Amino acid sequence: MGKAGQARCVHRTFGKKTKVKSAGKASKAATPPKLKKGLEAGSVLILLAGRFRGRRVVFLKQLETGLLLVTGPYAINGVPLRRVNQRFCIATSAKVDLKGADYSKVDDAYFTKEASKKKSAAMFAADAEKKGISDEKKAGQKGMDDKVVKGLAADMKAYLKAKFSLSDKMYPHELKF
Amino acid sequence: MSMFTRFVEPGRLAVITYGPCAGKVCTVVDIVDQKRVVVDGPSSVTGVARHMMPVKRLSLTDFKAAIPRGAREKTLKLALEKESILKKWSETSWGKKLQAKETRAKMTDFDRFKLMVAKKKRSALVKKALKKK
Repeated sequence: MGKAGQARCVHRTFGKKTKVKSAGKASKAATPPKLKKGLEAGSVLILLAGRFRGRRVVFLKQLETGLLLVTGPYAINGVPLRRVNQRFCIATSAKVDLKGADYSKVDDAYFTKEASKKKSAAMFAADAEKKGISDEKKAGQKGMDDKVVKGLAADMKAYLKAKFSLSDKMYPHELKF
Repeated sequence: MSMFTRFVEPGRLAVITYGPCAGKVCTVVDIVDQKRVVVDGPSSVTGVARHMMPVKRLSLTDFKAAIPRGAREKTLKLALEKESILKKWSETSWGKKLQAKETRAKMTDFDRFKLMVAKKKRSALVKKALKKK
């Protein structure tokens, strides 16, 4: 049996109901997403994706794009200053004292690469210059991390060096981090 | 000699094995029917509020508080304190096991790491000591 209810609208009127977008107001600037629970400068994160998956790193701040700025610190576990999406990390309750280390210079622009030249010419050139990270950045990283590294306790250092992994009978949904 | 020593009776200390209060200790206060009883922590002592519960979800222990049927929370609390039942319970191996399980579950990632390091250290020492002989 049929169902008593509103009849489906069969007649369509085209072009009458389309709204004209007002060109005047610009849309609001995107606000950066909220931080995960318990995240604050100095908390230890576990990275879940990318080259450094399984690494424990120190969270520094949230950038304008909403990505998290983290550091290994590089001197401890080889993870450089990096941006990560908070979806791809686990926040732990462990905290590191940043000792007032200053990372205010680092922003999203810090991570943009210089536009590469046209491939075709350079591709077959044998003596193509090998690009690496500039010395300037390397020194900057070291300088900024210095305070954090010095303030680490021995067990915290070992903790940051170690990789996270699940073993037998560890259920990530039941674990407390 | 009788076969059984643990009965579902008022004052019987039991462990809850299923549901939101799983792992907590409670006392049987009243019996509703063949399958169900009223239990009480009391909530101020073990965190189990007075509520009805199927017997199936309880594991009975050896301990029993001396209370009449349907005793009030206050009476129950006094009875438990008088014989220091919960203290005795925490000294049994069953109680200790439950406690260890709880502390294990509450460990954070950093704690787990520290435990792992400590275990490694211990086993290294044990190995060293065994090798000497």
